[in-house]
This record gives sequence, C-alpha cells and structure tokens, in this order.
Amino acid sequence: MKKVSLTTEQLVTLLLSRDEKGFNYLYDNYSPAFYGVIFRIVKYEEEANEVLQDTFVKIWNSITSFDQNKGTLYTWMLNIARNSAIDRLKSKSFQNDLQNQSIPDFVDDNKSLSTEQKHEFNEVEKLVNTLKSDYRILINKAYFGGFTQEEIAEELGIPLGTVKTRTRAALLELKNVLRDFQFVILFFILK
Amino acid sequence: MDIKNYISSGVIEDYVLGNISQEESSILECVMANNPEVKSAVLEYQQIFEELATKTAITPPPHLKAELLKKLDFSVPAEVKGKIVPLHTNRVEQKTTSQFPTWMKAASVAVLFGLGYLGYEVGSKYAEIEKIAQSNTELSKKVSGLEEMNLMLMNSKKIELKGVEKHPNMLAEVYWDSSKKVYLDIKNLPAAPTGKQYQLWAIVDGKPVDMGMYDSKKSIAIQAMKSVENPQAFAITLEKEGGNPTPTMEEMYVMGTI
Repeated sequence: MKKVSLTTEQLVTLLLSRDEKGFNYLYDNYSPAFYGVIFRIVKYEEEANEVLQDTFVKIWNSITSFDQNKGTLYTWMLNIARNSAIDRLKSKSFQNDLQNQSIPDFVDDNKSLSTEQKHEFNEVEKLVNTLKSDYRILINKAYFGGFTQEEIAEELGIPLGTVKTRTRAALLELKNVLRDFQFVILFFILK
Repeated sequence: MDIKNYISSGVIEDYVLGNISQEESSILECVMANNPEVKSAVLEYQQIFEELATKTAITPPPHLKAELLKKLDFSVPAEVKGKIVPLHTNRVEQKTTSQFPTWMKAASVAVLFGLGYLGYEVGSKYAEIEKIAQSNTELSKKVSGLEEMNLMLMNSKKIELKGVEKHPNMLAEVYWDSSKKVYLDIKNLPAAPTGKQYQLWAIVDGKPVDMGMYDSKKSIAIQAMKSVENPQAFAITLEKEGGNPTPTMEEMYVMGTI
C-alpha cells in the first residue's frame, strides 16, 4: 500500500477526472476491505472475483452521484460492494449453482487462496465468532445474508420486537468486539 | 411518538444493514438531513461496518486489478449529472386587504349614502335591515370559523417543514392538534404547475401515509388535512392532480420531524 494519503475530496476529484493514479489509489487502499465483505457473502472465490470487479466498475461509473452529506465515501463504496454481493447471492443463477454443490468449507476448499489470504480469512472468522451466538446469527443473516428483520423473525420464530432489540444490541456488541480486536492484534505484534 | 421513537423503531438498523426499500431509505436520508440526532445515529452505525470491513480485509488475487483496468475508460472525464432544479421563489401571495383605507372610505361613503337614503325612503329600511342581518350572520360565521381555527392553533403542535437539499429556502407548516387532526399552511413553495398538486405525507414508523392534497384554489391558507396518529415526520411532494398512493421521492420539497 502506498504511503500517500488522500482526502475524500482529493480522491473524488481524481476519480471524476478519470485519473489513473486516482484509480490505483482507490484500488490499492480499498479492494482488500471490499473483498473481505464480498467473500463472506458469496463464499466462492470465482464469484467474489467477479463481484469485486463489478463493484469497482459501479463505483467508477456512479462516482458522480456520491453525496458526502449522506455519509462517508468509504460507506458509500462499501454499500455498493455489499449490495452487489447480496444481489449476486440472491440471483437465480447463483441459487441454482448452490443447489448443485455443497457450500465450500470457507477457505480450505479454495485452493487458489494464498496462505496469507487463508490466514486473513480465519482472522475474520475468529473475530465474528467472539460475538454471542444470538448476535452472530443476526449480523450474519442481516448484513452478510441480506435478510430483513421481519424475515429473520419469521425464520428464527422469534417476535419482531425481539429481533429489533437484539439487532441493536448486536451492533453495539460488534462495536466493542472491534475495539478489543485491535488490542488483540497489537498484543501479538508487541509479543 | 417523537424522534427518539423513530430512532428506536429499527429503521436505522435496517438502513445500515442495507435491508430497506429505496423509498424508506430516501425518507430516512431526508430525516437525516433535517435531524442531527438521526444523522449521528446513522453515522455511528456505519462506522461499525467500516471498521469491520477494514479489520476483516482480505487481499484479492493480484490478477484482478489488471483485468479491471482493461474494463475502465480513462479517456473521458465523468460528467456531474446533478439535476438542476430551478427555484421559483416567487411565492403566491395570499391577497391581503392592502386596500383597506380605500375600502374604509368607500364604506363610509356607502354608509353616509345609506343614511341619507334611509332618511329619505323609510320604507326601504326593512330591506336594508334584512341585508345587514344577513351579512351579520355571515360575519359571525366567519368569526366562529376563525375562533375555531385559533383554538386549533393554540392546542396544536407546530411542525416546520423545511426545504430539502434541492429546495433549500422552501417552507411549510403543519399543525397537529390534540385530536390528531392535521392542518397545513404553505408558507413558501412555488405555485404548483398545471395538472400538479402538492400532497402532504405523514411518516409513520418510517413509512409514508397519505394526508391529502393541498388545494391552492381555496382562499384559505391553512387547510385541514386528514388525521393521523403517532407521526414522526411530515413531508410534501409534488404529485399529479388528485395525488398518488405513494410519494415521488425526487419531487420532495419540504420535510420536518416532530
């Protein structure tokens, strides 16, 4: 990753002027974050590769409609990545493929992933697994599965009000876990 | 229900988790623009997912970048497609009684004339009395109407609907009284083009509820709309005459939360 740090305005300006350096900066700095989210949603490497490319094409084509008043550039792009992956997950062709094969055991079946990638992926699992199981299910279903709170309530057979309260609690818990996660990494680095 | 309830209704969670209809998210974005409390709640949640993505990043296979670069066109600068919406700030003024002095003069003359006429032709006084009595009833009707309106204004909550991003200077006011009745007073909105009408919406649990049309042909400025329980916000959109079952989000002019 390059050490140059651009502000949102600088990056958006570069992207609008179709500057290749701007794109390189965007890709180098953000593609790992998007890929992590996409991979968790679609679970297959080939699909994840396609969705990641789609995501960047969409960002490239719709950067003109980014509105800073509605949130950060990072969130805006992350939503594109996440929604593209959810769309792929819910598409008919993908659902058909799913029926014909078993879901890969996340990383270990993806032989083309490097050791480093596998390590990264396992870190993700560890992090999410530190959440209480009630909460983990909610985050997984809602954010990584694209289910509404109503759908989750129906599937799990719990009242909608409970899902709402738990979702809120899950988000706060996730926030705390993320804070602690940093310490864990730091701890290992310092050791 | 107030903004605290709106925040705890689960709409914000649905929004940041990405499982919300286009319509509902447009409403939330409008509420966000007008309410710092909602905005900070949204930003706080979004930050969690930013952090989650950063900390759970996976480096994509290196060949993807080269493939991607081939798909993108670097030759033409992107055009900012922002729609330009002309702001018609020439508001329709309610005709006020600016000619009051003239009217007074005319009235005085008329009364003098009338007195003279009465003195002259006593026989016609009954007709005059009848006329006066009639206008008297009309006036008292008006007065009681005004009294009613005044009572309503005293007993109701006033909600200012401010112009959304695209229409910064627009303004309307909604009065929501204790019996759940809603009154609309358009303060500063451009005259609706022919075939179009302003429609009022209440936002209840994040969903728009039709509150009826504003009739610009009526002479009264404050118009009674439908009743609603537990609204969290009100908004006005420009719709075809007679209204639409759901609001056209791009045509939203003003919005205000309770």
